[in-house]
Amino acid sequence: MSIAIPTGVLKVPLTISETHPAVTLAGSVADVESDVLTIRVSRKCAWSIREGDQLYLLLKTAAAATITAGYVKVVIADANKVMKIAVVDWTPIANFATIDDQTKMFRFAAGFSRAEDEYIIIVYKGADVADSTKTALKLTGISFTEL
Amino acid sequence: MAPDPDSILKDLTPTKDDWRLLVGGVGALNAGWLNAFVGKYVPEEMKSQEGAIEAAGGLASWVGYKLAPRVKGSIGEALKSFFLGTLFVNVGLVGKKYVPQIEFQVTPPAGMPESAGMPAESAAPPAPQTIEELAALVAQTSAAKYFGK
Repeated sequence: MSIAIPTGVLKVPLTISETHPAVTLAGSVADVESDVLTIRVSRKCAWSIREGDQLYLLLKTAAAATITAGYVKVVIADANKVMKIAVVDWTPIANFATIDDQTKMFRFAAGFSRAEDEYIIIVYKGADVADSTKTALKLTGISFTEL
Repeated sequence: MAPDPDSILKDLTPTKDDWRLLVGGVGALNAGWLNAFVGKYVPEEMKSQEGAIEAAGGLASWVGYKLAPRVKGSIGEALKSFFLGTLFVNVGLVGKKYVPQIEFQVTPPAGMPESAGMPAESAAPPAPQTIEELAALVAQTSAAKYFGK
């Protein structure tokens, strides 16, 4: 179906990497739920992460060893991080580690959206300790910007 | 195989005399034209009467129907059928004005679709007013393209 876009709204594809200004990286604590990636939606923007959009996530230890054990959860939160809802519940981290094979790429099963200042948070829990400087991310979607 | 002389098909098969029905049908279709033609000569004070023009048309049809046999041959037969058709229509039109009409109205049952097998079309989603609503609508109604397997 087609949706009429209101006048003065810019629709652009969205690809977020770990270098995107909306992303805040953090290391993890062993066996503790850690917010390794906090993505805050930019001002005057609203993001649609649709069914089928990709999430690639690679966590490495300080010794640059890829973390293959542990679980990842993706939650969405309001601007005050009061209400958090998991859009991807605890899933083995290996599910997110493929970027070159379309058939193995992680895709969202259903769409969700976030408005300005709201959050998409990626939580990791595992025995390994992720080093924030070695985290890699790719998240796709659609961005709507008010002009 | 010869048709059975008592077959019902024999009764249903059109005969050469049935052309009168066609001409009568043409007459029925032209009743409005005849009424307009005759109506021009109806006195003004009578025109306001309900069904006056149709009655005049019916009278003309009656005259035509009765006088048509004076024209010999197939032309006379055709005229007779034509005026019979217009007469039927005008009798019906006049009768409709004076006989109380019962109107049958079928009310669709509540909650049922308009026609069988065709569910009512769902209402279009409301147009998004803000980018938040737009993003939410897009997230719910569209999917990312997936190239290749």
